[in-house]
Amino acid sequence: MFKARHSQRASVSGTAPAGVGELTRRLAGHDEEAFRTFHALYFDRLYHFLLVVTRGQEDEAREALQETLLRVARHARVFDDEDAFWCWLKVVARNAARDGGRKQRRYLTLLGRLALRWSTVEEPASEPAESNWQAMLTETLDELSPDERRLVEGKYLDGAATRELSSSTGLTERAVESRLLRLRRQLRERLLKKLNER
Amino acid sequence: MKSPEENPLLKEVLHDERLAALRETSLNQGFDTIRRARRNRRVARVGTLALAPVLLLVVLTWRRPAQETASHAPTPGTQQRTVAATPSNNSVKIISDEELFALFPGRSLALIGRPGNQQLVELDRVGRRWPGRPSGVEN
Repeated sequence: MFKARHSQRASVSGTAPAGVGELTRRLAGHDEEAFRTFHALYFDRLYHFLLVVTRGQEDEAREALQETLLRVARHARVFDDEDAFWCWLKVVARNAARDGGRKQRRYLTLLGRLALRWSTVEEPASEPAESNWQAMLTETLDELSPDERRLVEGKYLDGAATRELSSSTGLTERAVESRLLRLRRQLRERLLKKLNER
Repeated sequence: MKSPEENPLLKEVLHDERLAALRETSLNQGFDTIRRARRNRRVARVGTLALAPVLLLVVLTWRRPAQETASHAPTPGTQQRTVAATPSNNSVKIISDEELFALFPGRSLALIGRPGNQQLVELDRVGRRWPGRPSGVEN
Protein backbone atom coordinates (compact mmCIF):
# COMPACT_ATOMS: atom_id res chain seq x y z
CA MET A 1 0.00 0.00 0.00
CA PHE A 2 2.75 2.38 0.96
CA LYS A 3 4.74 1.87 -2.22
CA ALA A 4 1.71 2.27 -4.43
CA ARG A 5 0.77 5.56 -2.82
CA HIS A 6 4.27 6.90 -3.16
CA SER A 7 4.49 6.06 -6.81
CA GLN A 8 1.36 8.18 -7.27
CA ARG A 9 3.13 11.07 -5.60
CA ALA A 10 6.06 10.58 -7.90
CA SER A 11 4.19 11.79 -10.94
CA VAL A 12 2.96 14.86 -9.05
CA SER A 13 6.39 16.01 -7.95
CA GLY A 14 7.78 15.65 -11.45
CA THR A 15 5.46 18.40 -12.69
CA ALA A 16 7.36 21.43 -13.87
CA PRO A 17 6.40 24.79 -12.42
CA ALA A 18 4.60 26.88 -14.99
CA GLY A 19 5.96 30.18 -16.32
CA VAL A 20 9.63 29.40 -15.87
CA GLY A 21 10.42 31.76 -18.76
CA GLU A 22 8.73 34.66 -17.04
CA LEU A 23 10.25 33.73 -13.69
CA THR A 24 13.80 33.52 -15.00
CA ARG A 25 13.39 36.71 -17.01
CA ARG A 26 12.38 38.56 -13.87
CA LEU A 27 15.14 36.87 -11.90
CA ALA A 28 17.67 37.99 -14.48
CA GLY A 29 16.24 41.49 -14.14
CA HIS A 30 16.92 41.34 -10.37
CA ASP A 31 13.30 41.32 -9.31
CA GLU A 32 12.87 40.65 -5.57
CA GLU A 33 9.46 39.06 -5.90
CA ALA A 34 10.77 36.71 -8.57
CA PHE A 35 13.54 35.68 -6.20
CA ARG A 36 10.99 35.03 -3.46
CA THR A 37 9.02 32.79 -5.85
CA PHE A 38 12.15 31.02 -7.00
CA HIS A 39 13.25 30.50 -3.41
CA ALA A 40 9.88 29.03 -2.44
CA LEU A 41 9.88 26.72 -5.46
CA TYR A 42 13.43 25.49 -5.49
CA PHE A 43 14.83 25.74 -1.94
CA ASP A 44 13.80 22.23 -0.91
CA ARG A 45 14.56 20.69 -4.28
CA LEU A 46 18.06 22.14 -4.32
CA TYR A 47 18.67 21.07 -0.74
CA HIS A 48 17.71 17.51 -1.51
CA PHE A 49 19.90 17.54 -4.60
CA LEU A 50 22.81 18.90 -2.60
CA LEU A 51 22.34 16.27 0.09
CA VAL A 52 22.93 13.73 -2.65
CA VAL A 53 25.91 15.62 -4.06
CA THR A 54 27.54 15.93 -0.65
CA ARG A 55 26.66 12.31 0.18
CA GLY A 56 24.48 13.19 3.10
CA GLN A 57 26.83 15.76 4.66
CA GLU A 58 24.21 18.18 5.93
CA ASP A 59 26.53 21.05 6.82
CA GLU A 60 28.21 20.94 3.43
CA ALA A 61 24.83 20.73 1.73
CA ARG A 62 23.52 23.76 3.63
CA GLU A 63 26.61 25.82 2.93
CA ALA A 64 26.43 24.92 -0.74
CA LEU A 65 22.72 25.69 -0.84
CA GLN A 66 23.30 29.16 0.57
CA GLU A 67 26.02 29.79 -1.99
CA THR A 68 23.86 28.42 -4.81
CA LEU A 69 20.99 30.73 -3.98
CA LEU A 70 23.33 33.72 -3.89
CA ARG A 71 24.84 32.76 -7.24
CA VAL A 72 21.39 32.49 -8.75
CA ALA A 73 20.48 35.92 -7.36
CA ARG A 74 23.62 37.36 -8.92
CA HIS A 75 23.88 35.53 -12.23
CA ALA A 76 20.39 34.34 -13.12
CA ARG A 77 19.83 33.58 -16.79
CA VAL A 78 16.69 33.36 -18.86
CA PHE A 79 15.33 29.87 -19.60
CA ASP A 80 12.14 29.02 -21.42
CA ASP A 81 12.28 25.38 -20.49
CA GLU A 82 12.04 24.12 -16.91
CA ASP A 83 14.28 21.15 -17.56
CA ALA A 84 17.01 23.38 -18.92
CA PHE A 85 16.63 25.69 -15.93
CA TRP A 86 16.85 22.79 -13.50
CA CYS A 87 19.94 21.47 -15.29
CA TRP A 88 21.55 24.88 -14.99
CA LEU A 89 20.61 25.05 -11.31
CA LYS A 90 22.18 21.67 -10.76
CA VAL A 91 25.42 22.85 -12.36
CA VAL A 92 25.45 25.95 -10.16
CA ALA A 93 24.70 23.86 -7.08
CA ARG A 94 27.33 21.25 -7.91
CA ASN A 95 29.93 23.97 -8.46
CA ALA A 96 29.00 25.61 -5.17
CA ALA A 97 29.37 22.28 -3.41
CA ARG A 98 32.71 21.66 -5.09
CA ASP A 99 33.99 25.10 -4.19
CA GLY A 100 32.94 24.50 -0.59
CA GLY A 101 34.62 21.12 -0.70
CA ARG A 102 37.76 22.68 -2.10
CA LYS A 103 37.95 25.12 0.78
CA GLN A 104 37.59 22.26 3.20
CA ARG A 105 40.15 20.19 1.34
CA ARG A 106 42.60 23.11 1.38
CA TYR A 107 42.23 23.28 5.15
CA LEU A 108 42.67 19.53 5.44
CA THR A 109 45.69 19.69 3.17
CA LEU A 110 47.21 22.35 5.36
CA LEU A 111 46.57 20.28 8.46
CA GLY A 112 47.93 17.24 6.71
CA ARG A 113 51.10 19.05 5.73
CA LEU A 114 51.63 20.40 9.19
CA ALA A 115 50.87 17.31 11.24
CA LEU A 116 50.80 14.26 9.04
CA ARG A 117 53.39 14.75 6.36
CA TRP A 118 53.17 11.16 5.26
CA SER A 119 49.44 11.20 4.58
CA THR A 120 47.68 12.61 1.57
CA VAL A 121 44.19 14.09 1.41
CA GLU A 122 41.97 11.86 -0.62
CA GLU A 123 40.08 13.30 -3.54
CA PRO A 124 36.36 12.63 -3.21
CA ALA A 125 35.07 9.76 -5.26
CA SER A 126 32.88 10.49 -8.24
CA GLU A 127 29.69 12.28 -7.39
CA PRO A 128 26.54 10.18 -7.15
CA ALA A 129 23.75 10.77 -9.58
CA GLU A 130 20.51 12.39 -8.49
CA SER A 131 19.14 9.85 -6.05
CA ASN A 132 15.85 8.11 -6.04
CA TRP A 133 14.71 9.35 -2.69
CA GLN A 134 11.58 7.31 -2.78
CA ALA A 135 13.44 4.04 -3.13
CA MET A 136 15.74 4.98 -0.28
CA LEU A 137 12.84 5.95 1.95
CA THR A 138 10.99 2.75 1.24
CA GLU A 139 14.15 0.82 1.97
CA THR A 140 14.62 2.68 5.23
CA LEU A 141 11.00 2.17 6.26
CA ASP A 142 11.37 -1.53 5.62
CA GLU A 143 14.05 -1.60 8.27
CA LEU A 144 11.61 -0.37 10.94
CA SER A 145 9.57 -2.69 13.12
CA PRO A 146 5.94 -3.24 12.00
CA ASP A 147 4.58 -1.11 14.88
CA GLU A 148 6.93 1.74 14.13
CA ARG A 149 6.18 1.57 10.46
CA ARG A 150 2.43 1.56 11.10
CA LEU A 151 2.79 4.65 13.24
CA VAL A 152 4.79 6.51 10.60
CA GLU A 153 2.44 5.50 7.80
CA GLY A 154 -0.59 6.45 9.87
CA LYS A 155 0.80 9.92 10.51
CA TYR A 156 2.32 10.79 7.15
CA LEU A 157 0.36 8.77 4.62
CA ASP A 158 -3.10 8.46 6.12
CA GLY A 159 -2.84 11.90 7.70
CA ALA A 160 -4.14 10.65 11.04
CA ALA A 161 -4.16 13.05 13.99
CA THR A 162 -2.10 12.32 17.08
CA ARG A 163 -5.28 11.62 19.03
CA GLU A 164 -6.37 8.98 16.52
CA LEU A 165 -2.95 7.38 16.62
CA SER A 166 -3.06 7.44 20.38
CA SER A 167 -6.34 5.56 20.51
CA SER A 168 -5.28 3.04 17.85
CA THR A 169 -1.92 2.28 19.49
CA GLY A 170 -2.97 2.57 23.11
CA LEU A 171 -0.20 5.10 23.78
CA THR A 172 -0.64 8.57 25.23
CA GLU A 173 -0.57 11.47 22.76
CA ARG A 174 2.67 12.64 24.26
CA ALA A 175 4.18 9.20 23.82
CA VAL A 176 3.01 9.13 20.19
CA GLU A 177 4.63 12.51 19.53
CA SER A 178 7.86 11.51 21.16
CA ARG A 179 7.96 8.18 19.33
CA LEU A 180 7.35 9.92 16.02
CA LEU A 181 10.16 12.35 16.75
CA ARG A 182 12.52 9.50 17.53
CA LEU A 183 11.45 7.65 14.39
CA ARG A 184 12.01 10.71 12.23
CA ARG A 185 15.52 11.10 13.62
CA GLN A 186 16.17 7.42 13.04
CA LEU A 187 14.93 7.63 9.45
CA ARG A 188 17.01 10.72 8.84
CA GLU A 189 20.20 9.14 10.11
CA ARG A 190 19.62 6.03 8.05
CA LEU A 191 18.78 8.00 4.91
CA LEU A 192 21.89 10.15 5.21
CA LYS A 193 23.97 7.07 5.91
CA LYS A 194 22.59 5.45 2.77
CA LEU A 195 23.49 8.53 0.78
CA ASN A 196 26.99 8.42 2.15
CA GLU A 197 27.36 4.77 1.20
CA ARG A 198 26.22 5.24 -2.38
CA MET B 1 10.22 10.51 -7.88
CA LYS B 2 13.66 12.00 -7.79
CA SER B 3 13.23 14.81 -5.30
CA PRO B 4 11.23 14.51 -2.12
CA GLU B 5 9.94 18.06 -1.79
CA GLU B 6 6.32 16.99 -2.05
CA ASN B 7 6.58 14.00 0.23
CA PRO B 8 5.53 15.09 3.75
CA LEU B 9 7.41 12.29 5.44
CA LEU B 10 10.67 13.01 3.64
CA LYS B 11 10.23 16.69 4.30
CA GLU B 12 9.71 16.06 8.00
CA VAL B 13 12.64 13.69 8.10
CA LEU B 14 15.13 15.84 6.23
CA HIS B 15 14.14 19.26 7.47
CA ASP B 16 14.91 20.73 10.86
CA GLU B 17 15.16 24.08 12.65
CA ARG B 18 18.57 24.79 11.20
CA LEU B 19 17.22 24.43 7.72
CA ALA B 20 14.27 26.66 8.61
CA ALA B 21 16.74 29.29 9.80
CA LEU B 22 18.74 28.89 6.61
CA ARG B 23 15.56 29.31 4.58
CA GLU B 24 14.97 32.71 6.09
CA THR B 25 18.61 33.82 6.08
CA SER B 26 19.18 32.82 2.47
CA LEU B 27 16.03 34.63 1.36
CA ASN B 28 17.20 37.84 3.00
CA GLN B 29 20.72 37.43 1.67
CA GLY B 30 19.28 36.93 -1.79
CA PHE B 31 17.29 40.14 -1.47
CA ASP B 32 20.43 42.00 -0.41
CA THR B 33 22.36 40.58 -3.36
CA ILE B 34 19.58 41.56 -5.75
CA ARG B 35 19.40 45.09 -4.37
CA ARG B 36 23.16 45.43 -4.65
CA ALA B 37 23.15 44.14 -8.21
CA ARG B 38 20.37 46.55 -9.12
CA ARG B 39 22.24 49.46 -7.54
CA ASN B 40 25.44 48.54 -9.37
CA ARG B 41 23.57 48.33 -12.64
CA ARG B 42 21.99 51.75 -12.07
CA VAL B 43 25.35 53.30 -11.18
CA ALA B 44 26.91 51.76 -14.27
CA ARG B 45 24.11 53.09 -16.48
CA VAL B 46 24.26 56.61 -15.03
CA GLY B 47 28.04 56.55 -15.20
CA THR B 48 27.96 55.56 -18.85
CA LEU B 49 25.47 58.30 -19.66
CA ALA B 50 27.54 60.87 -17.81
CA LEU B 51 30.80 59.72 -19.36
CA ALA B 52 29.54 59.57 -22.93
CA PRO B 53 29.64 63.34 -23.62
CA VAL B 54 32.99 63.66 -21.87
CA LEU B 55 34.44 60.84 -23.96
CA LEU B 56 33.00 62.36 -27.11
CA LEU B 57 34.60 65.67 -26.25
CA VAL B 58 37.93 64.04 -25.53
CA VAL B 59 37.82 62.13 -28.83
CA LEU B 60 36.95 65.26 -30.80
CA THR B 61 39.66 67.29 -29.09
CA TRP B 62 42.26 64.65 -29.83
CA ARG B 63 41.23 64.21 -33.43
CA ARG B 64 41.30 67.91 -34.30
CA PRO B 65 44.98 68.53 -33.47
CA ALA B 66 45.83 65.30 -35.26
CA GLN B 67 44.03 66.47 -38.41
CA GLU B 68 45.67 69.88 -38.22
CA THR B 69 49.09 68.30 -37.86
CA ALA B 70 48.35 66.08 -40.83
CA SER B 71 47.28 69.04 -42.99
CA HIS B 72 50.41 71.00 -42.01
CA ALA B 73 52.73 68.08 -42.63
CA PRO B 74 55.22 69.17 -45.31
CA THR B 75 55.19 67.31 -48.62
CA PRO B 76 58.13 67.59 -51.02
CA GLY B 77 56.22 69.63 -53.61
CA THR B 78 54.71 72.15 -51.25
CA GLN B 79 57.57 72.64 -48.87
CA GLN B 80 58.90 75.82 -50.45
CA ARG B 81 55.47 77.34 -50.77
CA THR B 82 54.65 76.65 -47.15
CA VAL B 83 57.81 78.28 -45.98
CA ALA B 84 57.08 81.33 -48.12
CA ALA B 85 53.52 81.55 -46.88
CA THR B 86 54.36 81.26 -43.20
CA PRO B 87 55.35 84.92 -42.55
CA SER B 88 52.21 86.27 -44.19
CA ASN B 89 50.08 83.86 -42.12
CA ASN B 90 51.55 84.99 -38.89
CA SER B 91 51.30 88.77 -39.47
CA VAL B 92 48.76 90.49 -41.65
CA LYS B 93 49.71 93.94 -42.83
CA ILE B 94 47.02 96.24 -44.06
CA ILE B 95 48.11 98.41 -46.99
CA SER B 96 46.45 101.22 -48.88
CA ASP B 97 45.34 101.07 -52.53
CA GLU B 98 48.43 103.04 -53.60
CA GLU B 99 50.75 100.70 -51.75
CA LEU B 100 49.00 97.77 -53.43
CA PHE B 101 49.44 99.27 -56.91
CA ALA B 102 53.07 99.96 -56.05
CA LEU B 103 53.62 96.22 -55.61
CA PHE B 104 52.94 95.69 -59.32
CA PRO B 105 54.96 98.38 -61.11
CA GLY B 106 54.49 98.81 -64.86
CA ARG B 107 51.11 97.06 -64.98
CA SER B 108 47.67 98.33 -65.68
CA LEU B 109 45.62 97.59 -62.58
CA ALA B 110 42.19 98.49 -61.27
CA LEU B 111 40.25 97.90 -58.07
CA ILE B 112 36.69 96.87 -58.90
CA GLY B 113 33.79 96.45 -56.52
CA ARG B 114 32.37 97.89 -53.30
CA PRO B 115 34.82 99.02 -50.60
CA GLY B 116 35.71 96.07 -48.42
CA ASN B 117 34.93 93.59 -51.18
CA GLN B 118 37.10 94.84 -53.99
CA GLN B 119 39.00 92.80 -56.55
CA LEU B 120 42.33 93.73 -58.01
CA VAL B 121 42.11 93.29 -61.75
CA GLU B 122 45.10 93.27 -64.08
CA LEU B 123 43.74 94.94 -67.14
CA ASP B 124 46.45 93.66 -69.53
CA ARG B 125 45.56 90.03 -68.83
CA VAL B 126 41.80 90.24 -69.05
CA GLY B 127 41.63 90.25 -72.83
CA ARG B 128 44.61 87.98 -73.35
CA ARG B 129 43.89 84.85 -71.17
CA TRP B 130 40.23 84.79 -70.12
CA PRO B 131 38.33 87.02 -72.48
CA GLY B 132 35.05 86.82 -70.62
CA ARG B 133 36.29 86.69 -67.03
CA PRO B 134 38.78 88.92 -65.21
CA SER B 135 41.38 87.27 -62.99
CA GLY B 136 42.00 88.97 -59.73
CA VAL B 137 43.12 89.00 -56.21
CA GLU B 138 40.73 89.90 -53.43
CA ASN B 139 41.60 92.97 -51.51
